[in-house]
Amino acid sequence: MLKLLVVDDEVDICDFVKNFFKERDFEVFMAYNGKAALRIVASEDPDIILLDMKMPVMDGITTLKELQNLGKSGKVIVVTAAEDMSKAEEAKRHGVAEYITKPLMLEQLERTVFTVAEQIKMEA
Amino acid sequence: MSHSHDWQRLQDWTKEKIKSCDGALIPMDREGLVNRQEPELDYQFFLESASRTMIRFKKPEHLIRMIVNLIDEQVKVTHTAMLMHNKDKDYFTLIDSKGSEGVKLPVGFIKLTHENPLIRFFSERFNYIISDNGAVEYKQLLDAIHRNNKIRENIELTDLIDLALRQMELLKANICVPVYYKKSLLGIFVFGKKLSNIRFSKQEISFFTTLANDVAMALSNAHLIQDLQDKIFEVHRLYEREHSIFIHTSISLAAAIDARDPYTHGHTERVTQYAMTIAEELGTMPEAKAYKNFYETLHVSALLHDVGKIGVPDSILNKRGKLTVEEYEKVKEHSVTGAAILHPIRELGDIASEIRAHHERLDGKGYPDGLAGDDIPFIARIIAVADTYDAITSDRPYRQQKMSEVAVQIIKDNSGTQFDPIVVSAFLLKHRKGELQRTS
Repeated sequence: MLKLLVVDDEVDICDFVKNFFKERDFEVFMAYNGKAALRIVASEDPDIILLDMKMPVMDGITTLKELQNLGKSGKVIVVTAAEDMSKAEEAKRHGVAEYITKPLMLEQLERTVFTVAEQIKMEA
Repeated sequence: MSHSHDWQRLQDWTKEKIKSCDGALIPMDREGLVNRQEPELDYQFFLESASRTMIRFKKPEHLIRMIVNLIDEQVKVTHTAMLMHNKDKDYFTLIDSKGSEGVKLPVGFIKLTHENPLIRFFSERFNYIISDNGAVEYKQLLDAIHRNNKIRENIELTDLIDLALRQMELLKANICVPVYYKKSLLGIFVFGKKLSNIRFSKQEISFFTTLANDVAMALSNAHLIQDLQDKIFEVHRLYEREHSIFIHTSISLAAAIDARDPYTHGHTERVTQYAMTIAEELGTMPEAKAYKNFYETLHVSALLHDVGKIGVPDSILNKRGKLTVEEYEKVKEHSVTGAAILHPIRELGDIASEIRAHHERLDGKGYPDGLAGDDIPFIARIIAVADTYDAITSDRPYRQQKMSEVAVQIIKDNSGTQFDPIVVSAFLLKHRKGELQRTS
């Protein structure tokens, strides 16, 4: 079972994405900010991390830099508002696997997560 | 009460309950039989109050928010949301959402494009194959694939419905109620399950469709109002533009007239200024109110009052010394010529008669028509005073410069004979206040 970490400060989004991927046989963890996300990364070592860019406490980019230091940015799929394309560009420079803009199509989210999961499996 | 009577009552009650729970999503358990009595909502009352409230919403989004709130409060569902078409981006997104933790759909997170099967299903109005009022239940749709021959025979449609069902699952939608505006799909109300787990009653579904129709109505009204406002704005903008071109044209024309007469340099500008100043005291007079736009008509009339001087030869205009009778008659023609120039211009209809009459006298001894009293248009009476004041205080070939006080005395002396006393009073008031100083 693949482990997925959802990092988003919006509870509704976390819950929704969690349920969505639980129904698709993922083990899903949630974090409402970057700090909490790094703790879960340390303890659970998720396969894929869905990372929102705009968050309190520790924002997406800072979290991403930390993840890059840990050599885990390749597992990250960045989720960012369509208006924040500059953030997505910046995230790409930190070696993220993919990025998706909000609002998103669920099929696209699903496809991206599965594609990245496949890539990770192939590399392993 | 006999035992058999009690038994009968229990049977009736159970039958009634089974009837009202027709097609419940989950089979009723024993606990359900005991606790399942729901307070009936007075939907009629609810609808009336909703539509009353609706009138107060200028923005349809607010109405939608209110409806989502009302349904959430009144109908007790796991979640309620509104998918709405975003005109600019051309996709559907959730604009409002309510519901219990873990089930509530996040607002602004997902989008559904026109290719989305659920959107296609409603856009292409396949929902009306299985539902008269357009609202579609999950179970109804699932049944339709298997039971409705019209659908079963159509493989493409069956596939689309199958995919639409998957979408409803993603949204955990139990019922979808579409909102149409002018034949295009504008949005979809999404309802989860009832907290009581009972299937929605026909009454509730028709209540939802009524609300959806109300939303459509409100949206269409809002669109109409918006269109109207846009048009009014456009007309206003065009008017402002035309108007400013018009005023500037009048000013240029006035300047051109002034330029021909070196002895009256700046006369038009000053007369306009004096006339406007005097008129400030007269705006509340019934005579002023009779004009559609008093100040504007006065402004343009004053600017163009001497436009007829175009027809007066330079030799007369430039002459130093007294004019001959013939020359003076030629000068007097300018008010008629001016009116004749402006008359064909429809927008200047009022102005032509003002210009024609600006040398009339209250006692009927003026020219060109010998009009008297109220027959002289009010604006012409104001211009007459302003014109005389400037003529006396200015250098003219046929008059010596006179002092302002002399001009005031002459105007006073001719009040009631040449000039309208009301206009003269306004003139004197402004003069006393020092607002009629020569500035050029």
